[in-house]
Amino acid sequence: MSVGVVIPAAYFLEKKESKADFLTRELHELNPEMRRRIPEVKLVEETRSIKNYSYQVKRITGKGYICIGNAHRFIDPIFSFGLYVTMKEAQLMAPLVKAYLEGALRDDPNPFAAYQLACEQGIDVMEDVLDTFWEQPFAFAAFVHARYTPLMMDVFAGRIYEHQPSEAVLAFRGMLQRERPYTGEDDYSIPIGSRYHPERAPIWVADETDT
Amino acid sequence: MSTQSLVESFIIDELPLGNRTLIGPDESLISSQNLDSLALLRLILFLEEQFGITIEDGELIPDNFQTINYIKSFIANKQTVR
Repeated sequence: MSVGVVIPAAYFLEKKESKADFLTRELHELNPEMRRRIPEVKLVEETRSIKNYSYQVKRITGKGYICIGNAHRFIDPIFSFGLYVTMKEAQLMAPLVKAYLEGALRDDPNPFAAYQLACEQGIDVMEDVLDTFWEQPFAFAAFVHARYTPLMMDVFAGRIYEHQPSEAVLAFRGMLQRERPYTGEDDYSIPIGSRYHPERAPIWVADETDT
Repeated sequence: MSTQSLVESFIIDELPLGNRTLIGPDESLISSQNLDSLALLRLILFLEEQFGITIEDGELIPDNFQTINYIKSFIANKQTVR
């Protein structure tokens, strides 16, 4: 069985354990159900870690190419949005590709610019929710469980492309002190999340020798 | 009852702290993981109802709820500006 944990780098460093000891203890302490299912952890190979699995590709579309899903962006596996996003992006892309093959926008410098903007706006919603989960867990709990529950149900149900940013998402961005402008060229597609700028949230700062 | 006693009673009686019957006014509620985020959420709802205050989104940061003394001072500030 392959198992792992997703944690802020600062938390790992604070424990001062080897990767193997850290994983073994976490699997025992994280959740009672997991402890029941894996009562004795026996590691059969080296414990590995990835410091920052997030990435974002700039200019995900252009003449002759278009990226979908993890081909252009990966944020965090914690809420398992990835497959949904890939399918949704494929759905958004299909009519544009069909139209292009039929001759539409052939002279446009980027025939798929609208697709790119829609994708980035949708995933930005998720990124800001995820960053709040890690960086402001207290506010995250209050927003999801009490203050913006219906709007957050929309996000968790995948409604991230329409009627966004909602009041809830704007509140998350307020907590992160983050704005998302979508004007001018395609500058919006550059990474601005704190995973790419650890100085904004120390939980993402890692010592390379330890991780 | 004083603010401190009300908050302390709620934490001891209503939130999951194991078998503890006492929590110090300067004892960390968050960094020591005495309370998780959902317990803190219940605490927020209690504070708003009990003391008639509205806690703004931007005030939902751990700094305001680190200890009972921090909470006491946060409530006092909120009641002053009301």
